Amino acid sequence: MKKYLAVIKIEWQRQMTYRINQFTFRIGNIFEILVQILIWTAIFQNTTVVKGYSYQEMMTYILIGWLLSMLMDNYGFENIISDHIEKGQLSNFLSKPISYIKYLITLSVGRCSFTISIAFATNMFLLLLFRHHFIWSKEILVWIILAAMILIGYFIKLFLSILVGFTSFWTVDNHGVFYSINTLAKFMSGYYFPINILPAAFLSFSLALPFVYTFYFPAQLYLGKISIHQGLIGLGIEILWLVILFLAIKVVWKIGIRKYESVGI
Amino acid sequence: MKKYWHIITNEIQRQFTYRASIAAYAFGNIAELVALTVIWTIVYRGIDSINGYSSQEMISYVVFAWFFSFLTTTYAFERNVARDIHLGTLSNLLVKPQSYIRYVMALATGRITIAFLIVLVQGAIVFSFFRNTLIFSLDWKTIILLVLMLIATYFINLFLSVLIGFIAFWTTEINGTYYSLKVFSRFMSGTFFPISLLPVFFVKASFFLPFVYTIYIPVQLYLGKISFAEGLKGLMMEMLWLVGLYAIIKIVWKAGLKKYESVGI
Repeated sequence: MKKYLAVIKIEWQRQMTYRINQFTFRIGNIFEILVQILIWTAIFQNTTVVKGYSYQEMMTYILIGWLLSMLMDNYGFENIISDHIEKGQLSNFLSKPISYIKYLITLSVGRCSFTISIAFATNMFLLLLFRHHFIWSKEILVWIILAAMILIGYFIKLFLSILVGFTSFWTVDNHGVFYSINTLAKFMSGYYFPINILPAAFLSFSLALPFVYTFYFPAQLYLGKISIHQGLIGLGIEILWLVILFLAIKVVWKIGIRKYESVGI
Repeated sequence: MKKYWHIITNEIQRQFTYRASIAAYAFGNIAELVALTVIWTIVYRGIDSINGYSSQEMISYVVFAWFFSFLTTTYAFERNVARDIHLGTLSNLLVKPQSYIRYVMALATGRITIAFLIVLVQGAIVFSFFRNTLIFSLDWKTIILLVLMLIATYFINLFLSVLIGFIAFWTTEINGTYYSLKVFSRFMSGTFFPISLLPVFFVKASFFLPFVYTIYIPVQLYLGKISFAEGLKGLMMEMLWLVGLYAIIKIVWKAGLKKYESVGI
């Protein structure tokens, strides 16, 4: 256990090297959130309700959704894995007395803890800026479920990134694939708009996939548009996905390592 | 001139190595467009016009802004420039009988060729999908002006990429800056929605920056929201910005080279 703690500590220090870069990323995030806020503000100047969302609810959806999804994010972790595989650095880890998958999980925790705290601070700043349009939820039970969802959502996203990164066992230069998977995942998670403005069939389809639980679902729960009972069912589906994804990682890892040629060393 | 031509054809060949990866980007590119058209379609169910845009005009705006922005993107060329500087590859290029800035322009043009063709095909598919909603205008004079504007847009984007890449002379990480500026420029250029939806203050401020002339003005011209004369004025402004940016590139290049330590070789 102690060796994995060292991985986290080292990664934390490494992240401090490029601390300015961390901040410049967050400025871009703020712009992205502002774009969405401005689009919806312009829309709500002509109407009071869009598909059952009032202006305040839509603002809250965007702000809380972003806050939660940033806490679950792993900031392009698949790129690190594909680097390991493509450059042959993986061999280095294979010869050490550690499990590569466990190593990846600890690495990402060390890597994200720093970024997430900055992301949290910038998002809280935005929340305060828009506090007059933000609905504060006082339901303690909702907050507890949200905390559990952040934790599980983080690992769902991480496991997905690891799986995507493992595609590098078979192909080189898959940035295009990463980019497309990430934007599709964003779309399916409700990042651009609440999924339920789409036809009901699409909603029930997306509820069966893991993506929706990283943005839309927790935001809806926060807004009280989903009952606590439904929220708990969602949490159950998340745990199920976590297990499925972990098993998939194990299987793909076994097949991938057979294909691994250690090119680059 | 001939040597630069070789750079372009070489780069096109190099791009063919990872043709699947380039094609893979196309799937992700479409997600944002789908999101925007879904939002506007749903919003317009209850309203006839928003800020003087009918539903048809808004969908056309979003589709053509998307199309123009992907036709003129440099696909993160700043990373290439930054890599040349960080890895010391720049020294290699400096000793050759060529101008680095012209080399970079030729390289970028070769680099985007395949992606450009893919976007054309993708655009044609999108247009045929929306053929009943989109406004098609085929006034030759306007189209020639539009093509000229988009060429200018590409070079404005390229010059900005080169400038951002040059930051690498002074810092070791430019990704955060690159990302933030990307989001900012896409927002200020009206890629997501017409700038005129924003508060007056924003609109006025945006005309002091180059971005508004890169997407918003061309789309407005295409939709017939501004006159041909105003379009010509927009092209003139683009030209002015090009001259200004080129001058800045020359200055930053001179200052940067003095700082350049050729680390990495």
